[in-house]
Amino acid sequence: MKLKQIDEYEYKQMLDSKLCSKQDMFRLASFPYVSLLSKYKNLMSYEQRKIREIEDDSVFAFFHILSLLFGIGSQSEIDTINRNMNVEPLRSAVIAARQELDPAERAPKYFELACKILLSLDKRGYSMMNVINIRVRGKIPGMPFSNRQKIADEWFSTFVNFKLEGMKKVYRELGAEMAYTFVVSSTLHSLYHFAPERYHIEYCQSEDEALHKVLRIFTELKDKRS
Amino acid sequence: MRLFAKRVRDPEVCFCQNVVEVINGLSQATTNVAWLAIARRVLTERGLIDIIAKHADNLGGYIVEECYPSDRNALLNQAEALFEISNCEIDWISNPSISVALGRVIKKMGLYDSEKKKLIIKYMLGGENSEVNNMLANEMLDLF
Repeated sequence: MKLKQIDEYEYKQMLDSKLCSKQDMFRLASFPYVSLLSKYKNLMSYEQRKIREIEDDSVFAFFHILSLLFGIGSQSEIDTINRNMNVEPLRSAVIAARQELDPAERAPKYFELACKILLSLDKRGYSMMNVINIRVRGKIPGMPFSNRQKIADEWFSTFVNFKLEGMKKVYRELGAEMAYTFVVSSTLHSLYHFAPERYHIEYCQSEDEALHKVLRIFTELKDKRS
Repeated sequence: MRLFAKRVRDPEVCFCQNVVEVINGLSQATTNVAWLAIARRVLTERGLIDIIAKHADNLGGYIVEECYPSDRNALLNQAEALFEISNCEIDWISNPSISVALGRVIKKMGLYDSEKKKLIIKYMLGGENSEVNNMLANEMLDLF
């Protein structure tokens, strides 16, 4: 089988209209965006491999952080996030979310900002004046003064923005549980779209089974690398 | 040297300048995500966001002269907005840059002491009109 996916135009149209059902949510989640690799031309094979790795790590970081924010994952990591809610930079996400005039907007706003802030942290911590500065996980191979790193950071920032827009929409209209399902499904669609040859879903009976297979193979791959 | 800057005497522009000054103090205590959200919410609730949207981009090219609305209620609304921005969520006691910036701006606005005291009690001392708060507010008047 092949996964049915929607394009950017349809995704934006769906963001502007009302989501009525679970089916709508899954349809919205099937927008994969484009792979980081497709942003470059004339890459050597080792560069392709490295960029693919960075793409995987970045998408995994996004998925991992959102899962923790939704309270799914290792208890010690969830506790660390909860403990740090009163400390900068996460405190900013709490403050900014509290400022939302519509109370229903506060939780999705917090998830959005906290996710962006946590994705912006690097070894040096965070910058007070630029607390949201999303960057890919790793250094893109390239010559000095090449703008490959900038392209990668912009790609990841757009990827995260697309996914979070969808997550917020689902959260507002269908609730928190569906919002997390959206995050999982949407991430898996992207992973499949970025490297379909990796997952061998031809013999899967349903979309659900195919997505499960993508998740299984991807986590196995991540475990092998680490 | 701002050789080509335009000299402006407009209460709206002056308010923008004051907001920027207060936010400057706030930005030393918190990140841009937080202060932006705070300022946007307060200014929207008080119907002042349009003033910022209208003038904020040009502010760098102006030499702003002190000028305040002649309507007392409008002036008080502006002062209250500045107090609210600087005292919402961020603790001013552990972040003195906030109250210093606010004090500098409020001093220029020509409010009566009674008005200032009311605002200090409401936004900086928790809102309770007790004897202790009155005493504290009297002492804090020096700053404003």
